[in-house]
Amino acid sequence: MKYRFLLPIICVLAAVFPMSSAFGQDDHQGGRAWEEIFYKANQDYREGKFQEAVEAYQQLIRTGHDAPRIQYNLGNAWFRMNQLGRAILAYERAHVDMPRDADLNFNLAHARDQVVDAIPPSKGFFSMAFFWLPNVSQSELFWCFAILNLLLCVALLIRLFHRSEWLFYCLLLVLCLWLVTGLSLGMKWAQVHDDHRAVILQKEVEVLAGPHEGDTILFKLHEGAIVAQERSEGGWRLIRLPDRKRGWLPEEALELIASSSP
Amino acid sequence: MKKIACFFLFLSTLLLTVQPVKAEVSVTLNLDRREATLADSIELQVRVSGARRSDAPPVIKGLEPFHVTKGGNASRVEIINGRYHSGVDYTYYLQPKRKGVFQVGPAGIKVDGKTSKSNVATLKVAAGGEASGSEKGPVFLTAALGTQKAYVEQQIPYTLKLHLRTNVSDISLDLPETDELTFRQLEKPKEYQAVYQGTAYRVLEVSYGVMPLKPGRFRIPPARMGLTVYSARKRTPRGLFDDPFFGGALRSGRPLTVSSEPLALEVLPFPEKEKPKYFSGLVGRFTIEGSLSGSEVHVGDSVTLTVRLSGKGNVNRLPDLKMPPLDHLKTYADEPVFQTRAGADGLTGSKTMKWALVPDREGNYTIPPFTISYFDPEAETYGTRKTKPLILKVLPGETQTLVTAPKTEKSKDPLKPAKQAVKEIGHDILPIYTSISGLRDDGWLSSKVMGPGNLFCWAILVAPFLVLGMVFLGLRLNKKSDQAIYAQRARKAAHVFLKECRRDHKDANGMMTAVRDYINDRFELSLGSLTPADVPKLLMAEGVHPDTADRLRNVLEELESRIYTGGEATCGSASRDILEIIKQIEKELR
Repeated sequence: MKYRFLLPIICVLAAVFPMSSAFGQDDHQGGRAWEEIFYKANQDYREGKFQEAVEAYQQLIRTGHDAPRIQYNLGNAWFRMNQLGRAILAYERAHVDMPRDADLNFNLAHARDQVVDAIPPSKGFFSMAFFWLPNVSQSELFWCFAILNLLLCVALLIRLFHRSEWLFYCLLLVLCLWLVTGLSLGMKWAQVHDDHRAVILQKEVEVLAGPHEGDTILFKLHEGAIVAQERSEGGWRLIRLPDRKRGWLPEEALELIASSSP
Repeated sequence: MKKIACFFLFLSTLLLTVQPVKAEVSVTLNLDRREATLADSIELQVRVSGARRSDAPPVIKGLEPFHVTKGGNASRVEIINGRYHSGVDYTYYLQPKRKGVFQVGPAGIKVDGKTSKSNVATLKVAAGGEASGSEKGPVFLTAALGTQKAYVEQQIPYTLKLHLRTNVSDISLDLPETDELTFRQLEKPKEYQAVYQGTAYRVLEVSYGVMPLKPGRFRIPPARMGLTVYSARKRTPRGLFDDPFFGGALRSGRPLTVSSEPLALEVLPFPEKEKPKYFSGLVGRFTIEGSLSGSEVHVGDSVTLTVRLSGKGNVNRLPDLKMPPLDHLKTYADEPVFQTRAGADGLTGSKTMKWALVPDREGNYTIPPFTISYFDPEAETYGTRKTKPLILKVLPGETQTLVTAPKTEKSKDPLKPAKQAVKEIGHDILPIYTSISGLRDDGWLSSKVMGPGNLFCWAILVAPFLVLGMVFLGLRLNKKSDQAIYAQRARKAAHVFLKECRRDHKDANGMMTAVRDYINDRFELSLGSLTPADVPKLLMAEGVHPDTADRLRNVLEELESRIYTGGEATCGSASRDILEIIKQIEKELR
């Protein structure tokens, strides 16, 4: 009974981790319903009924099944309907959660090739320092960090009872990895949750000097171009390009990648 | 001796490495001038390349208006860049019988049973002495234009003839300088004998092509030739310096500049009538030819389309033709090849353009005709030339059967096709995902809900530290609780001792044991035995006064002596003394 004090800890942990109920499981009937919609959408896609496929995929996303693969399929359907902007939008949304998917990257590159505007990607210090971030998803980074977090605690725990040189160096190594991964996770989280990128959805749109119809036309953008949205105001959105061009667009001309609506 | 051997070795190596060129037999006919008088003797040369001897002498057509004298033949051998060339030259001298324009040639020659024919040359024969009747000196220069009226960018022959009756050297030429005309030398200077106004001259002829750049009436200024003239001296008895060996080098000469007469040229603009819409400014006569390297090709294979523009005139203006885009037919343009040649007839040239065509779908493709327009100054009309439409039949791609052959060591099959880069034929997106695996919602761990606001994430991250903190805290608490137990036991040690001593009447042995337990409890020790000598040290180390410690030692020594002397059944006054001393120790330690 020397370690009887551990008993309340175990009780606390058991209360914090309600494992069985943590993952939102569909009830059996609901699960079957969305699977049927998914299969039907795929069937429509194969039969060339792309509009029906798009509607079905959008329905799935609206009902909470916003899986990256559904966004990918939606992108394919938009692409087949010659909606390049919406296809790129869906592909980009899928890319957030599965950045290394070969099919997705191929289709996204193919779609980007057809975009009229040549907009160079912006390269800042952080994007160069954390160059691996575009290739890992947020959840992958989180689990890496969680494992390193656990390893760090285990090392510290062992060190409470047993002190040795190799343990010290192990602890240093784990600590470094823990710091890098933690910073990466923070950066990734900021990228995902503060993503102001938007995709132009109209074939050609004029970017104005101000949020009014009569303002001077500064330049034109074409479907599929990716811009950064700065703010929105009265049905207009102020956008920025990597080369510091700025201007106003009607809000129906573009859609944020981070927006969850299909 | 060694050097001679090396020389012969080098010579033999050179001869052995010479590769005879197995070229086809070609025949060229040359006249030493294009214009002559009835008094002139014209040299005709038939040059055969590719054979050192012929089956029979050449047969030359068009020699009826001339008296022909055979000048002999000479075979020649040339080694250029290690390649062996051979040929034979036949020379004839022509004496015109009448004036007129005559076509000389072609010359036909039979080599190894096969007859080859040469080109045709034109010779204009005029009556002798048609120039000004004035007497000219021993050196004079004449200039002549091919025509007095020309069109913009038309090539006009401009011939300078230096007539000589004396020896000259150091000849230099200054061409007329004018912004409206450009001069280009057409041939190497020619030298021949001619009769001018009944006097025989040695003639040095230089031909240029003149190209006017804009319309208008122009005066071509005289051309000037600078030279050194050596006067003819009376023959004297041959002295040392008249020896031909010295070549007259020591004779004195005088510098002389001779000028030609100025000439007039009228340059006409291009007529606007029937001018083609896309006229590129070509002047002369041009042709266009198109061809495909094959009329049938498989999907993915390439075929070469060649278009060749050639002609005589301002060939520098030959345009770069563009291949029109064709559906399902990728085109890769090659660098155009441009060649020019200046000859007696003027400037000729060609431009060859090539495209690699790669079809990506089977079917019949029609290559549309390529067109060029030019102005023909002789006919004074515009001309248009087109290539014929070319048909390319594209067959389905070949299905290749994979054959596995046993690999033999060091076997190299020369017929084995070389590896080539994979060609992309089409572009399209990849198909949709059809499996439901990976489509389930990740719940609390999906990217959208993951973040600082997600308690579950925090729980996962904080839990290990929570455990660590609790373990650490537990250890600290555990340590503290042990200390508290000991302190409590220490505080209670005197009370327990006094209580036990009052309850039981202990003998000497029991009292010694009780004192030992008291000291163990009081000072958190675990002594198995306690001697009176050890006690003062222990007590003084814990802060007990030395007198008190000595008193306890004395009492304990008394008890010990009782044990060893058989009086252990009673403690005597020691029991009471010990109680007082313990109380004293507690006071001192408090």
